[in-house]
Amino acid sequence: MSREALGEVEELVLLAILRLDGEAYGVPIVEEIEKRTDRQIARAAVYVALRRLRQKGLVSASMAAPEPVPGGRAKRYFRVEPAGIERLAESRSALLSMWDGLQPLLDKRS
Amino acid sequence: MTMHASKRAPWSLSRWILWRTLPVDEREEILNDLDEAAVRFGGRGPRAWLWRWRQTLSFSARFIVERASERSPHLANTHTSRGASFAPQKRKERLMSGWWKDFGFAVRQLLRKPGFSAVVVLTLALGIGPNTAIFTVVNGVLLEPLPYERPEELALFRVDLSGLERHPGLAQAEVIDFRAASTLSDVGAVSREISTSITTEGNMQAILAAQVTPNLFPLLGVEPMIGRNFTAEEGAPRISGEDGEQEEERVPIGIISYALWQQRYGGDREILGKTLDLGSQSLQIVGVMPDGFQLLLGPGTSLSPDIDLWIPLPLDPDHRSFWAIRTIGRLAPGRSLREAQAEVELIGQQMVEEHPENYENSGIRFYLHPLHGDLVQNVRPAIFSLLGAVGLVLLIACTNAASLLLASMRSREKELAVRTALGAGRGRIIRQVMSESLLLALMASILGIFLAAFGLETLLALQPAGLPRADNIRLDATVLLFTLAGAFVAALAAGIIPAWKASSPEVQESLKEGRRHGGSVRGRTRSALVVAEVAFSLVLLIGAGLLIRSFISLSRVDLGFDPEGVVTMRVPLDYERFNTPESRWDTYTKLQDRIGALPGVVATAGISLVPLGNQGMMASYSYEGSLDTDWNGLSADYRFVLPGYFESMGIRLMAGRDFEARDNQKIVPVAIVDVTLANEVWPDEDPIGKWLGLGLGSALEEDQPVEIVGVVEHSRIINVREVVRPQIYLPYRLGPAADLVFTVRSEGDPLAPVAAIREEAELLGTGRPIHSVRAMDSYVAAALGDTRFTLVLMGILAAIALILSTVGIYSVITYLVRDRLHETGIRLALGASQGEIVRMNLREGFVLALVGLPIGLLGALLLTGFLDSLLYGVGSTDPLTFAGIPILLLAVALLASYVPARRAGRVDPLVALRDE
Repeated sequence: MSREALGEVEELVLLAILRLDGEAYGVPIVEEIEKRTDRQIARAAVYVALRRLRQKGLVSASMAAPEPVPGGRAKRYFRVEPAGIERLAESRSALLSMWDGLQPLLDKRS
Repeated sequence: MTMHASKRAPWSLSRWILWRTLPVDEREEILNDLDEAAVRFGGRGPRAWLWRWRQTLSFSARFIVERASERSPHLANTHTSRGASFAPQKRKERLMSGWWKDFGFAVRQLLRKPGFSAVVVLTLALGIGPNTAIFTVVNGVLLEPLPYERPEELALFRVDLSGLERHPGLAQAEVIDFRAASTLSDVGAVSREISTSITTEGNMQAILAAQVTPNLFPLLGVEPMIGRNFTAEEGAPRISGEDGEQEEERVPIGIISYALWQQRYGGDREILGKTLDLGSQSLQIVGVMPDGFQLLLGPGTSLSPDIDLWIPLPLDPDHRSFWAIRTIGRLAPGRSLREAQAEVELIGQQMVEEHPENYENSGIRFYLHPLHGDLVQNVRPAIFSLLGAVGLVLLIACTNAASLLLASMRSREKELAVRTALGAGRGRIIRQVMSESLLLALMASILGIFLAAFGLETLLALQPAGLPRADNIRLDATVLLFTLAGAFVAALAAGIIPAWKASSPEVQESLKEGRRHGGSVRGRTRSALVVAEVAFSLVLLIGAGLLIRSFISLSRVDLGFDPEGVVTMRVPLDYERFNTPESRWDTYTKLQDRIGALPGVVATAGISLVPLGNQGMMASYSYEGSLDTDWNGLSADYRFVLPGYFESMGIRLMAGRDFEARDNQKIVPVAIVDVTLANEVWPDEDPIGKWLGLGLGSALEEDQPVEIVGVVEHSRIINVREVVRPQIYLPYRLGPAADLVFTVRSEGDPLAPVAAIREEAELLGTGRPIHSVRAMDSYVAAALGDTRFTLVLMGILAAIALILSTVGIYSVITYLVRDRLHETGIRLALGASQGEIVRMNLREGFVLALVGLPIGLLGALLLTGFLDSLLYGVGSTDPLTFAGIPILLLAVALLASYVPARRAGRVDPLVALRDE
């Protein structure tokens, strides 16, 4: 089975989960991506990506117990599986090799 | 299926939608996350509401698509592990396919009764179409932000001079003061429009120009498409005193509009640096504004949106008495309009204290109006009234559709009973009926959009001259979304009662017993619906009635002059060439003579402003006996006229004489007043020979009184609606401007002599083109136009309402007659006459209408107050309208009941008795 490439949002989501290091559930993931990339992202797209990543086995989810405060609720925390890290690495090296030798192009523009 | 999540109030419907569309195993967490994100997004109000709905639509759309692709087999290999969601998915799928099944069933049902479906679709479309059309106007004019950067921060300054209307002008020094002293992030200004003319390759063309401060375009967030904006130095005032040399150094420059660039220069990219020949002056073009740029300012600003030439406006810090500069401020980020308003008022007070000589007793106050709100202030009442009206029409249409659906349930009783017997629950039956009404509403909304598109053309053709942003009105995605939402609401409104009734256990029970109690239950419900319909229609009809009465009183207004056969045109003179009052008087009288000699022309003269042109010149006056005291707060409209003006307009001279040439050869302080002023000041005396004191900046010296030589009839000179300020006419010589409006009365077509007049002006060498040529009766028509616009629309809506409720009454009576067939048979067999049967059924319709009337009257009393500003010569509780319209509606109700009632009377008793 040929492996499907990671979508852009999927990649961003994976990276965000890694950055959040154990604190990754829906809300902070969206915030992290928006903060880092400095652009708006469709919230729903992030959740769809999370679902796909989970189905592909690249992330796993676990329910945390509700916080012990009034109105506290259960959250689903995400963790990147080794397979996910592998895919991220592949994607990074693919991009880097595509960029190889193109640096002057960027320098000229800036 | 539990829906505990929907208990949390603020989400309700949107939450329900999400609950239905999100994957079962994820929805709870996603909803929780959304709650948290909503809290972080912050706040309440429409912004938060919008945010929620955007998320709802985005999530449900994305997840529906996502899961559809998961399910489709050719994509299955990419989504191998469904894992935990598999089992609940099944149940979900079953439910969704349940909806689909119902839709399929609904399609078959509706196809089986094409006539019925067509009537319901048409009914709903008549409700949805007008809503779409009017919402398009609301969206284009009121909702869409103005095409500037962060337009909500922009505000227009207005000045209130002791209770007179808020004038949109500031003095130049005031603009400077506000810019310096306020926390507004910037303050820019623009002049009123200036008519001038340009000459290219020998062709003269009249154009509109305006002066702007260099910071105005950046303040709006607009920049020239080609070239540059004015620099601050170019907008700085010339050094006064020895302005001779100073002026030479500065090359006059201008920025032209996209339209002028295209039209005169064919979109030449090398435009910059070219010169524009204005006759007496030439300008260097430094920029071209982007396509579609308009400076949209509110009523009374005398600034056309279509300015072709922008030139720098220098602000003179010593210029504090002539309120002529339209000023726009931008609120500093985070500041509210109210804060800025308070500040502006304070700065205004300081100005008055610092410069008492300029503001003496003026009672001046400065206001900031939101730019957009200011722009639409005059049309908002009309638009909102129409929005209310289309809302009512939609309600009526839904009521009617509900009534029709309810009737159709009758023929479905058996089918529904069988379904129940086979175990369909109440929810199931409701869902089925709802899917039918949803389908009908969707079809209706498609038809409605076509109706709206067609209606919009008519609407825009009727557009009143005062409708701002008319070119921004179009069917777009927002409108389509609104229509779909409207259809959804309509489906709910029309379907919920029939669905509830059809699934009612009472009905189901009675069906099992094989009896027909359900019929009368639904009959009652339908009767209630008709009562509601009558009430809604009455409100609309009364609204339309009031507008018709206003229109009639407007068109009967005694203008005080005869507009027919008169054409008006502006005849400017080249100011450089005619730089003395004598030369201007000379040229204008020559032209007057020559026009008067043209074939067909009966009379001609000139006046300083177009009558009914919505412009005024106002002065305070005093009279003998009050001369020694202060101005006593009397104000009048004044105009400068050429001799013969009253004759050319058909204004009656009631005493004394008209102006003559000798009043104009040198400065002679004479005046003609209208009968209103004469009666006010000298009720029992002959005004001829009396003296008036006037305060105006003309050739007249400050305190020189004028002698009254004539009295004329009062005529409407500002607009058709506005009544009586007294009027004072002065000889042209007292205000010898190089711009005069000629009034030409001729036999036959008023526009016929226009070409010849242009030739005469050219022969005389006036040096400027004649422009703004318009037949006087078109000003009258335009003045009636605003009212006609609202009236025609309201009339159409009222007609739709009347038709819909007629259909409603008709169908209910038909239904009742049918329901009573058996009873009718018995009555006939027992010897009742046909007439009695007819009367009995007629009474039903009559009673329904009669019950609806008081409710409608009450509604009308509550609502017609909103029409107040649109009415003329009639109160919003006009007794004639409130008495007449209900009678009309009763008559219509009787007529609608008569047809089925008569049919009942003619029925064969044997056939009727057999009916079970």
